[in-house]
Amino acid sequence: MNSFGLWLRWSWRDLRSRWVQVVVISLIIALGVGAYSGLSSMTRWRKITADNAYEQLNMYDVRVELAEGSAVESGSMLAVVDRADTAGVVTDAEERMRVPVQVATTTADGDIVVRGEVIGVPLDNDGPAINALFTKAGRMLDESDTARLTSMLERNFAVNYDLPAEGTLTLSGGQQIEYVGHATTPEFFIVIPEGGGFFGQANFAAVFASVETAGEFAGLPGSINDLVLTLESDSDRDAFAAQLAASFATAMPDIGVVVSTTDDDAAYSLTYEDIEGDQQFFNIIAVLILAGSAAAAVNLTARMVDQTRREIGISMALGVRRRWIAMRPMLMGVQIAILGVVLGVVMGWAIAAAMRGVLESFLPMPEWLTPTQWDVFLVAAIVGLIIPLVAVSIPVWRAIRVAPVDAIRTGHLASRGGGLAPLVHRVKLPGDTFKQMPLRNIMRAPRRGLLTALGIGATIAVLVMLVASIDSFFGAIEKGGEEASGGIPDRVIVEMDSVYPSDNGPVGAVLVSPLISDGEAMLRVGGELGPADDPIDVFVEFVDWQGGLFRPDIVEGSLPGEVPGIVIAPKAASDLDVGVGDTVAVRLPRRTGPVSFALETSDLTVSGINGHPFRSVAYMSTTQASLLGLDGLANVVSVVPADGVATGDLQAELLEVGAVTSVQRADSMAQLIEDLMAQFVGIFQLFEAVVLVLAVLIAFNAASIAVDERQREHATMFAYGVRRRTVVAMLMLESAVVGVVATLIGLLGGLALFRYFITQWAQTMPEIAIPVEMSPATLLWAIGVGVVAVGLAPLLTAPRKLRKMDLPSTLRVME
Amino acid sequence: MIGNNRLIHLEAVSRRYELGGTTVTALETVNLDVHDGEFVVVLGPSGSGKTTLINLIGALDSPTEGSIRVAGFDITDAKRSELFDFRRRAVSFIFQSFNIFPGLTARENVQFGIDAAGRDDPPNADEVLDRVGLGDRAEHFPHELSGGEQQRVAIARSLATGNPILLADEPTGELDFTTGVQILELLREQAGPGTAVLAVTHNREISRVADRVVELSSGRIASDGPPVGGRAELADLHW
Repeated sequence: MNSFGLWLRWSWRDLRSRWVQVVVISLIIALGVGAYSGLSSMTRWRKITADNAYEQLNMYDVRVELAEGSAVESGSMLAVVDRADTAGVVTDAEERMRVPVQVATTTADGDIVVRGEVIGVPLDNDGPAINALFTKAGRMLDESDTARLTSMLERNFAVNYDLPAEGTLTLSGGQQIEYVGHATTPEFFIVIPEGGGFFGQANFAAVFASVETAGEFAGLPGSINDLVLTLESDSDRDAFAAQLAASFATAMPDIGVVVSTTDDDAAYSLTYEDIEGDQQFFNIIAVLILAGSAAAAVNLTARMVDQTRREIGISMALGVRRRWIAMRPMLMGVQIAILGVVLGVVMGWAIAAAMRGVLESFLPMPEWLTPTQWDVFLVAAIVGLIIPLVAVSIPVWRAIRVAPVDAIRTGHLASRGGGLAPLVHRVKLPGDTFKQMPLRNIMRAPRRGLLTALGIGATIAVLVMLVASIDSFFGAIEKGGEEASGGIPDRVIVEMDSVYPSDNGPVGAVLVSPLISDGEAMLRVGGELGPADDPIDVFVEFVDWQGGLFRPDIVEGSLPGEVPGIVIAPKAASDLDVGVGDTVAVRLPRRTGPVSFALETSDLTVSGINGHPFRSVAYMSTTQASLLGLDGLANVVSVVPADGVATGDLQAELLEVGAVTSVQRADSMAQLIEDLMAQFVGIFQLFEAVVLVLAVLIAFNAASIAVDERQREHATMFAYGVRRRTVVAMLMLESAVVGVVATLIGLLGGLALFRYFITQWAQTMPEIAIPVEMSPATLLWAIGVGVVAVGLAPLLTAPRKLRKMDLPSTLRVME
Repeated sequence: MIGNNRLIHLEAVSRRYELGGTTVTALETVNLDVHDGEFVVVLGPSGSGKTTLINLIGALDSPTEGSIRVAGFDITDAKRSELFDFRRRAVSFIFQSFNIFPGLTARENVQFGIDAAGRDDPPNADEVLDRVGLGDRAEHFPHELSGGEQQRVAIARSLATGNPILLADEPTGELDFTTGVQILELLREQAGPGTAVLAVTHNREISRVADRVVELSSGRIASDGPPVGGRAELADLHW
């Protein structure tokens, strides 16, 4: 009897006799293996591609930015580096000029005007050498473009609006500049909007030109305000940055500088942290899917072992060793696992191929490296093999421990206990026995019901996690938009390139525009909150609390009073562990000259907490502008367009005002991110469809097993004249009850996972407080999948099987 | 007391099956009438066609030839939905392996019979259980009952439908002698005005307690009449 071939053939016949259930479980395993291998391959590609890109384009090690609005003569920042004690570790350094501008161009859908920046870089010696430009379309800038009105357009922005490789841009003041290609560079692999987040490309255009050209645009020829350096590979970046900051403080005491390292670069850190975060996300999705497949495999194997109970007993009576008895169902498990893994590898390859296109579209790395990740596929294959085998071994192990006499016993003597049914039999259930029997059946076989619910619950948890993440992210963005509008739905923010008198000059020109019905000049400055070694970037708006147009929402505390104070965002208060009445260090630029600002630290009282989900949003009173030497000055105009005037009309008119760098609705970022995220809706819908299919497959499997297992009961019902549709309805009701339990498990599990990811995202995107919220639509989705889809699953199998049932034979079947 | 109401009428009924290219005749030109009050035992060895006969009368199967009329229903060429309706209102089955629902208590199994029939004046499940001597076992699940008790629950479920014809397929097949006799007694009691009981068995001893024995052999009725030697009392049985 110990011929392996015999057992293999026998198990193969077992498998063929249940081919539909086997294929279903294999498909579920395949989805788990495919999801893990395909998505994990993507993670690997992102990592090696990012490493390659940062090396190829020579990402800076240290960057020195002058305070907003400041500029110095070309060469003076390099001179500070040369004089520093640590200059020996510097391998290269380049000065740049970054000038905030408005950028207007024409797209297929019409004219657009967005916030932008002219980034002046050295074009001599095939420059720039640090944070080099990579040509994605058109041609590269060269030395001949120095001081000319020639530029390259940042690739993400260009692709977002489907702009051609060459064209003309109109910048603030109506100045025009040609662009000759699309370029990418490490700082814009991901476009970070002001205040944090990602996908800012719809609202931000970086224009790369020569450093000389940028100076001309700023009206400060020969000036620079930015410096990037690369260091010896073994040098300590942080230590160097600290010493360099000290050198600048000494050399330029009237100008504030911010010295940062690679790790501080938002796009850089987001690129890598996002990769790690996504991998965790994918791992959980794959594990949950595989858990669902394990539950399905246990159900099927338990059913199969039940059916062969007498054969097992006879084998035992004949003296067959237990390991040989176990081999038959185990071999079936192996065959299911192999089929699942083979299908999974194919699926993983397909997922990876599909995601490759998505990556290349959304992350403009110079070169995408996408080698086949054999080790990832190997791990997925091994896990995909082990999980069903472990699942199968549980009922097999239980079966071979039964005494032979018990296994051989037939008829009513073989009947087993009623599961948990006795626990609930005193519970008065509504309806007739047809309505009560589904719940009784679940309680009779609680393990299978629970395993099915766990399997489906796992898939619903994935769905809830995905959709709740989207809900919450959009919730935060929408909330941000509402807060930025300040109760004025059409509020438009006009930004200036520097500070100007608040009642004349360019600010005055905006205020008297016939296109606005109301407006107020405001100050908005970038700064830092908290300890100097780990600060939080903020944008402080100086608000006229008395008669101003814009009134931010204060959720706790009050507006700053006589004593200087600041209103900060809840996330900032949480991260800094401060509350109303506490003191916080605030580092803001203080004007020291027409184009020079020094950063000064003051200890201010937290007078209130605003309602903005972005931690960078802070408010002070206009009466405190004198602290910065900016009283009577403004760099932002908050306006309400006149009736019938669109934002685009205002943008077009104010493009002529040279000092204006941005004209955007206050809630524009929220709208643009929503628009951009809408491009991902297809991917999310694909995920949702996969989850739906998974849940239905598991429910189908459970229903199919239930129909097989209860065929005598169903035959008896038919013998009593119960109609087939009633039996199918009972199966659907039973499935729906399991679906309700699964939905509860899925909702709780999904929310727990979501909470976990919120903590992870807090590290990846610390700038945004993402609320834990789930929309009614998400809840309906979960209920729809868990209850409705699962409840309907028996329709896929029960009517056919019941119709094909041989009633007389089924009724006479002996145990 | 055998009445005049003909509950079962089979006329020239044949049933043939195609098995692997071979035609197997399970029943051949069978004529049978059963009246109310009769307790009829269909006797025969394995393969004689007795189960086929009970399946045809219960509309679980359809004849190849002939006509069948049961409790006023002509089920010979009835549609599937009509057959469901017939089974709900005319016949009740009792099986060798009981086929009661393991997830339901004794009372709930009986209630199932009531619900399935859907009569306007349904009996009380507890009263029906009392009739089969299981009034004190109503809350028990099948796995908590003995084989005889399970078969009593099955009989109670059949009685609860209120249908005029009880069809019992080897009702004592899984029971010991004493229990089997008790079940036979119970079945015999059910034959009365307006109702008939038709039991199938291969056990000649059981047939001794019937009003009438229909003996099948190779699909044909070999004999039809009172038990040889007259109807016996239950106390006289032994096997």
